[in-house]
Amino acid sequence: MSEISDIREALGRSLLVIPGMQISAYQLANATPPCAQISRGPVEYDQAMQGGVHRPTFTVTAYVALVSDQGAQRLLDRYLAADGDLSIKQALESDRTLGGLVQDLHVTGATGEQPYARDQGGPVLGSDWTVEVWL
Amino acid sequence: MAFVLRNAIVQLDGTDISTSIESVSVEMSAADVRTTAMGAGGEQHLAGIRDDKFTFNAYSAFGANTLHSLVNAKFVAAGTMEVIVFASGSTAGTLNPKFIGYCPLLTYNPVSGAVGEAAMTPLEMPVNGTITVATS
Repeated sequence: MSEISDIREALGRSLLVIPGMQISAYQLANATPPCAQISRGPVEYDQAMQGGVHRPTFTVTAYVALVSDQGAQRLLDRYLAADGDLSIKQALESDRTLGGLVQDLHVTGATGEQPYARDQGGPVLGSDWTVEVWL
Repeated sequence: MAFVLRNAIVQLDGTDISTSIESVSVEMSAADVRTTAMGAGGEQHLAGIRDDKFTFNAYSAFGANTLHSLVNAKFVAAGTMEVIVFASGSTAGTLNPKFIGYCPLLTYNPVSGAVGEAAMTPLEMPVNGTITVATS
């Protein structure tokens, strides 16, 4: 069974194709946008007999800086696209086995544009993507 | 004692495919032969010919040494598979009987499901004869 830390790192590597984005396999205390970080979501254990399949989910959160109102939204639109050079879904699904770490993965949805407050710095715009993984 | 079904063992022709199995059902049934005669106060029933079967729902997998390679080859050859099911682990006993049947593959549905769902292979395997229940 693959280690969750390896899966986090592999998801992060998949996002490296998106230029100019800071990527972290773990949540950052003070990320600098544009950035993406990976956190754990719900887990469904024992989806097959003898522990054959487990289904963890991961949340990829991407932020863009709100330095210009429309520019931030335009950039986030491209991150949220189902495909394209800045599509986070396409990047995450570019290798659906993460080099053999998982049986399959599927980016099932995104929350869409949301404002986020930060402890330091101004507010940012962002979205959460849900990644279902089949272990 | 009640238990959660999560460690069932499913073997097809001696190959353990348990980790691909999402659900399992061992079904033993007999035809309902009615013997009701005039004047009876209620229906009379006798157990007729048995019609046992195994039903599985498995995650689809293709390639060498997968469920598909196992089942498809036997289906194409119109062969019979030995099916063994344990409810929990592979040690047979009075608390964990072993269900054995020999099944011709009359249908094979390698892929089913809707978009966004796991690809599943439902297997319905009627038994040639009856299912045998063993405790050793």
